[in-house]
Amino acid sequence: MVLKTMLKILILVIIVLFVFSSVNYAETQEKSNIVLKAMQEELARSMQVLGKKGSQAPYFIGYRITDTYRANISSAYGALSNCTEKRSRILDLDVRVGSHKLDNTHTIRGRYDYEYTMPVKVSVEDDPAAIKSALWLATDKRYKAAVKKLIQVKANKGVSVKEEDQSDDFSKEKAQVYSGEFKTAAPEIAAWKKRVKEYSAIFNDYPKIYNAWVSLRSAAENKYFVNSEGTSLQHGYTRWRLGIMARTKAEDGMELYKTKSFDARDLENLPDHETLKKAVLKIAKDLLALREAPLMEPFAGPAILSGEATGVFFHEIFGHRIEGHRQKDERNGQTFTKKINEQVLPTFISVYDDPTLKQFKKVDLNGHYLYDDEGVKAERVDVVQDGILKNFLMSRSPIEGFSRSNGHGRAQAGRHPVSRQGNLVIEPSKTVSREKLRRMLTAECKAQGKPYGLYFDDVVGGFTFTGRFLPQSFNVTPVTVYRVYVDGRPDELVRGVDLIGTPLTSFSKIIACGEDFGVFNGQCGAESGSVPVSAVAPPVLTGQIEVQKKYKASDKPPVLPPPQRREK
Amino acid sequence: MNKRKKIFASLVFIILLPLVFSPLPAGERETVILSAVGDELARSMGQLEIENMKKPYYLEYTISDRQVLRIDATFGSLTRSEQVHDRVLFVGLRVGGYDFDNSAFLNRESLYAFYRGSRNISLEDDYNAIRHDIWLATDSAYKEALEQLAAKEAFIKNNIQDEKIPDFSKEKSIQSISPAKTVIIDRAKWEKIVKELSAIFRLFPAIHDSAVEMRVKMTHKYYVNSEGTRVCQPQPLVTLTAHAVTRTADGMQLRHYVPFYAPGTDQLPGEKQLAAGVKKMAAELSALAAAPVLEDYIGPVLFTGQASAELFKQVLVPQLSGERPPLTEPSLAELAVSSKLVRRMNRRILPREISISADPTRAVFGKEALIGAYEVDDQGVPARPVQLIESGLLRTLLMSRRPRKEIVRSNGHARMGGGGKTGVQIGNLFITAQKGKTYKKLKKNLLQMCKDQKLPFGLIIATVDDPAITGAGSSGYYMMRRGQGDRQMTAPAVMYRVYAADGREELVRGITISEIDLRSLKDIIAVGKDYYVHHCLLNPGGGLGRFSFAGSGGGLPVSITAPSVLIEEIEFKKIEAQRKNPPLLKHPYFPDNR
Repeated sequence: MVLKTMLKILILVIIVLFVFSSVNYAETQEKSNIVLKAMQEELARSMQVLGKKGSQAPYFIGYRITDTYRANISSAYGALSNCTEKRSRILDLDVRVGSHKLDNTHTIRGRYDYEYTMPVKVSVEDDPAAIKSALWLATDKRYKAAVKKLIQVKANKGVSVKEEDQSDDFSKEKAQVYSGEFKTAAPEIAAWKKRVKEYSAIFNDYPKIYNAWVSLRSAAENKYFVNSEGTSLQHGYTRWRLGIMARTKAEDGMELYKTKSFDARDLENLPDHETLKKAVLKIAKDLLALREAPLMEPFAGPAILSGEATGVFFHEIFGHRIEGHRQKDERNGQTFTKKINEQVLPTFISVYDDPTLKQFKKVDLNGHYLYDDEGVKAERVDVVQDGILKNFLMSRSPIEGFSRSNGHGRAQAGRHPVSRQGNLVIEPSKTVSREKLRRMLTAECKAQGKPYGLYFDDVVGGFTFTGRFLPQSFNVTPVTVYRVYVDGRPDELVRGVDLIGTPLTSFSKIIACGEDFGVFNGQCGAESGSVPVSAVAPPVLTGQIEVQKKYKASDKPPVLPPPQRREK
Repeated sequence: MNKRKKIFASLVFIILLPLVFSPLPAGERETVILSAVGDELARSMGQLEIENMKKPYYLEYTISDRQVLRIDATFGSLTRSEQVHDRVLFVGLRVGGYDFDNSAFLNRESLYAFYRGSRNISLEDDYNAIRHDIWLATDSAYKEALEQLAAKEAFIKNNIQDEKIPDFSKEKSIQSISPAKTVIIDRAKWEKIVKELSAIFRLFPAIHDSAVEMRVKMTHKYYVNSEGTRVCQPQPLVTLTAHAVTRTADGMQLRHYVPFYAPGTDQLPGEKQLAAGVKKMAAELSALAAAPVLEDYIGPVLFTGQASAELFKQVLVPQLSGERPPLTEPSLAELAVSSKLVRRMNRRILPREISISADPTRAVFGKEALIGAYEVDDQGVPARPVQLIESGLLRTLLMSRRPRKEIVRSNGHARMGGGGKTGVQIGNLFITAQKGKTYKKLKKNLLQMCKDQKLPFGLIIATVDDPAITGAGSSGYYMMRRGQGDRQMTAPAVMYRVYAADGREELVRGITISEIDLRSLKDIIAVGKDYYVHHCLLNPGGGLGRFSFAGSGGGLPVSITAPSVLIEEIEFKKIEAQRKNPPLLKHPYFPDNR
């Protein structure tokens, strides 16, 4: 079973330009070479000596060091609630014995085969001796485990029936060499403390919002990668996020919340001060409106999903099912495995995933990268063309008919990469205006005899099960949903809605796409950990969406009113 | 090439800035926090009430403000240097009455409640923001307390109780406000020291992996309850540990460590002494890797230094809590642990020459600062000395405000761990002997016993392993097992055999104590007058949990002062851990190590 969560937390920011002095920068550049050099030297020694001293030579070794800097400044009700800066370097290893055809990573069938290894922390300084000694011990441990595992793999193959997918365990790829600049993302702490405090203080005027906070998070991830095929990479990414979160309870005890986040790869691409203040105000007002909104009843019928909501929808119910390794894993549902060159979406929809995209219409995309976490160059993958399934997102784990990686092997530091989404783009060949889309919605409602359809404005991610042993379903959590009445009454906000359904039926019901593309930036969690992703999509009109009642917490709202504020 | 020079030349990435703790001037901060807490407490006690339900009869708040500097280094290089500040609020809300309330009832809900019971609050001394946090936390604590009380009442109806003992003892209220402390730490200086200490391992080719970890903590605990007690206690603590691991040619994994704990950086040993301590440990571990392996041993053992203190810590300390275990649903029965000593009140449990007292009020022993000292416990009860064992006779046990039939009042030993779990635990423990012998004399005794029993040698254990330090690594957690069935002691780290013929000492490895428990302590036949002060971190005991987590650097500070002890006979067994081949390649830093 694969449980995925895509969590949208929040963020943003502005102006303050923080640049390391050029001296520091030059020094940093030189230092990154120290790290790569140490990795290369220890890798060469391991390849050379392990074969002689061990029972069999490894045929491949890869080292990945992820240098992560993270800052978080949060505030609630005008007071600072968190302020941290952390830096770490995590080492990941891929040590393989056997051959590309069959190696120690081969799935052992009939038993739980998930290996969790403690992350290896290495020196945050560019000190070859310390880095090499960590590589040495970790390589030894992994090599021995790999030798042992290969024996088990061979035994398991001997006693099991032939696998459906006979493809290799590891693809052959070209060596890549690249050295980019070392990226930094340190916020100016004092200035940002002041700003997030100011934003969060806005909630002081809303006593019915029980819990609210605003945070600025930044991250700089610099990746060092070498492997025994000659690949040597150093590349870095920064992410900034200003997040707003507010929670309350309706009088009947239902938990309600609203979130908004602004993501950018560069600080200056976050909205300005006034825009952010307005966004906070809007969250507060929208949440209060939601608190008073009527409860949604179970419903099945036509709906429009905003661009952002469509993005999440596609990420969950489509994107995860076109990840290559799921087509091979026999425990997976393999929705699309045998559907290449068949129609899986309406003919006016194409889908591609392109990590090389930095922006979409001037909005920074979270899922951008140059090389994946297996050292393969990122490629645009045309997954669906005019409704026809053409390709899968591939890591270096080949599947039948797809023997090469297309640069989608991704993982968070400390995890083994599998194929994952980067920037998923839904591209319709024809679109209609917003007004037309609404008219089409009411027309569809009439045709189905429904008094209203739904408009999903805002969703906060969800989860999907792709496994075989649970129903193949998805659940996206809509926050802001309106009833759009056929009779021309104003739209009505409702609360307590959960979107449910089974994937294949939902795809076939898309009737039309709108023009106002939305960008969803978030973090996606799966077996290889949390990775930054984006989904870009138009609003869609679907003929049928199914909605269930949301789980409702039973606790009453607080017994006492909020405490009296004391003037400072 | 001068390697050491190169190490220190390679520059630090982390910005080197002095660390300044505590933003507000002393005095002001306590006032803001205590008044926000006090005002919300008064409002809740007065007005918090759901129709037709009981009101709270008791309410307490603990705000734990923690500022921690963490510096880790391996092999001469930093792996972490970060500062963390958090403020966590814990609410204790009771409905019912002192005789019977919602507390101490262990069912599935209360296990979850334990995790829900804390809340991160504003880091600033902002009256409004703090009070807002307290309001919400109190509201959920109240609702939970009502449900727990109902569940407990239902449970009682179906299960007859033999005796009626109150759930909560009545204690006098106190006011004890110590001003907040500001600690200024030179972060760059300590980064350098920690790196230098970790670089010592570059001189020891036999060691495979090592780490030096330092934590400088300043905890301010603000405590307020509805009986009128108000406490503000600053609790500084510095821990610096070095640990190392290797694997011998015959595949045995060996671990060793050296701890330096003190209330402040000023009370730590000087740099030279720190380095000497780490060097000694590294040398011992290197020697141990080449030491002969014992297969078996039954005979007299002399515990000295850290090993003697650990003997008392591991065998006796878990039994010192007199706290009555919680009412427990049958399916969770094994989580409720009761001391084995309860039935031995006024009976002899140790040889007559040994007395033991718990005394959190003592700040020093000789010249050594004790980290287990505190003035008021975490239920607002003043600390006091408790004579636990007098000339071998058990006199009393350590108590919180949860009474038992024999002991109805607290003696100030309720301590709250990092996760908010409060249980009975020692602060400082003193093991003393009436007529202690010199170490030399003890060793002579040991040799004589060997001769009498025609044994070629006896054993001296100087250090035993502390897996919370050596097994945790820099990021992991080690699960410590405690409870009734456990008769194990951690493996000896430094152990010598002493030849009966000539008194010669030789490092040995490969065996561990097979079984040890309280009765073994009765077999102490001689006690030294050489006192060793052992500092360590322990989880809160009693009540919830036979399993608890001790992270590296987590837990409650404790100091145990113990003399060497000679035990007549202990059985050892071979260490059965899996043997693995040492690394195939040589350590990259020691090219000549072949």
